[in-house]
Amino acid sequence: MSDMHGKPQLALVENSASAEAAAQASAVQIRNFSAYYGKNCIISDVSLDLPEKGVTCLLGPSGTGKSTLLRWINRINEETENASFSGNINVLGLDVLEGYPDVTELRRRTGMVFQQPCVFPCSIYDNMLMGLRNRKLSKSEARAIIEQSLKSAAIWDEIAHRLEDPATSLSLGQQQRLCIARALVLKPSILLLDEPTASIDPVSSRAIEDLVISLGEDIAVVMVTHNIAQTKRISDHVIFLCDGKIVEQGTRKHMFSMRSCEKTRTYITEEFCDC
Amino acid sequence: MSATSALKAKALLKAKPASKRRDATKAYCQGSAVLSIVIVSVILLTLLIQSLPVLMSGDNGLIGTQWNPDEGQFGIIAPLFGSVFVMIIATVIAFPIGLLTAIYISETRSSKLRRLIKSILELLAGIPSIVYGLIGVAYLNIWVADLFDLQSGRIILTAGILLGIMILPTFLTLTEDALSAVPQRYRENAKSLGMYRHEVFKDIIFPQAKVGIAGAGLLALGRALGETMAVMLVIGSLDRLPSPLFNPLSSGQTITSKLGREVGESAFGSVHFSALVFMSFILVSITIALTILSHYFLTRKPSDV
Ligand SMILES: Nc1ncnc2c1ncn2[C@@H]1O[C@H](COP(=O)(O)OP(=O)(O)OP(=O)(O)O)[C@@H](O)[C@H]1O
Ligand SMILES: [Mg+2]
Repeated sequence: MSDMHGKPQLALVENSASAEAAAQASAVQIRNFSAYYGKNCIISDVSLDLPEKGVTCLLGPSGTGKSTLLRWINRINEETENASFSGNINVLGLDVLEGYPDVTELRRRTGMVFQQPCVFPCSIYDNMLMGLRNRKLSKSEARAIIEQSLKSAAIWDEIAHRLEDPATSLSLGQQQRLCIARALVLKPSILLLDEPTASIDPVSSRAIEDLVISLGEDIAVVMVTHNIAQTKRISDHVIFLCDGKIVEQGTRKHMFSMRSCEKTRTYITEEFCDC
Repeated sequence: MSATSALKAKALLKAKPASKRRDATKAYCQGSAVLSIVIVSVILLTLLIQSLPVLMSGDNGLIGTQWNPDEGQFGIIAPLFGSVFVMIIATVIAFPIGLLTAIYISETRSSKLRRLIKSILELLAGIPSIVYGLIGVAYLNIWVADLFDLQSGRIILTAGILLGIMILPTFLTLTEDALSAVPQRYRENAKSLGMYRHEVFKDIIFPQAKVGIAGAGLLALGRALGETMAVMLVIGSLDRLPSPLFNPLSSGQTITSKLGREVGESAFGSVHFSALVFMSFILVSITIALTILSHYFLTRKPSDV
């Protein structure tokens, strides 16, 4: 019962030394993790590792808890009322759920793009500046980082001439790309993307995919997507979640081969879930 | 007649009752709007007509500090100053406490705590003002006198404190509403960018809520200006400007307390009565101005700021 209110199991804390050693190789290490909203168990007893580099795609039918899992990695879900968890999550070698020194620092090292784009009601440029606070950058340095990030998110050409316009005047797809760019200014070691291409046209969507692939060479990118073709194009690893449990996880090659398990295959090929 | 045009004609016939209903609704709404404007205008006009006697009488000393009906001196400056002074004290007390509490309630975001505090506040806002007045006379007044070593605690400060307590619930709930109305996803997005709590509030939440907060403040000010009973009981009712001017420890008078005391004593139609009506005209004008201002703030969209 105490597990449901955020107390990790004692044994796991005692194990932290060996856990830390293992965490060196993986950016995120999730052990026996369960997530709840009120008394509803959304994710039950999930364990997985996200490698330090590479793109991991999170697949699964709607409502299985993909967003919930992602939102616990940078602990943003603790802002949600009646959300609780048990188990533990290691990010960059530190236990984030219990005793992480500084949540703000954790969030700076893990960029996040939410499922619904949300720009702040100020100018486009000010939106980008929000992530650069407390960095003691000169104006030109900040501008260079912002320009670079906007270019990476494939939106610079469209908005370069109107950086002072209110960000709310952008279209939904542009807002989504602005959110991606806003997370990029942090220069995160882990990037959490929740359906980042859901409201973007195919061309910009390809640009985002290219960005994700190139980011994956240096950092860990976790991306939730419903697009199987996209998963096939960009992923190094695939995790298939269903009903709050991991059905199968593995490399892309494995997951898209005939060797993957029955459930995965039906989901990937016929896009329906029989679990 | 072709088939399509016949269909169109049928559709038009069918559409008619709906549009008629819409017209009726529109007329009803417009009628109500006009009616409320007419009522306000009639009130203002009546007050103005009733204050004509004092405005026409030559040497009335209206813009002065002397109030002496027997000698035809009707200075409104002292009560006007008193009203504003008391309002300012009430503001200084209520606004910081209200704002900080509202921030605490809305940003800790425990909806249980929030509902509990809000329902208590709404109860407090519903207590009749005479009850506050009695508490003021029975306790506050004596505490203030003890604290500042005065003979009587019926002073401007006491009235200000009491008013501050009275407007606090209104201001607090409305401010809290304004803060909670900012969607949670803004907080999440800002925090995911590694912004600290205070930065999130200062740069993301407050700019979106400030319009509502300003409206809440103006509404509370209007209430403070119009409050009569409680103030009348504790302000001391002295028709003089404090000396020195901004000394909150002297007794004073507000427009409402003046009206509350003297309307009954003055003969209807006399210059004395007319002077009191003129004062109420001023009070109503200020209150209406505040209300219009608050509406302006409350109905403006956050993005216009
Ligand atoms: N704040 C909340 N309070 C209560 N239940 C919630 C809350 N957020 C999500 N849930 C529930 O948790 C479950 C998982 O939600 P989640 O958003 O993680 O799904 P998802 O896998 O991201 O789905 P999608 O693909 O549609 O985005 C759903 O059944 C949802 O109803
Ligand atoms: Mg989701």
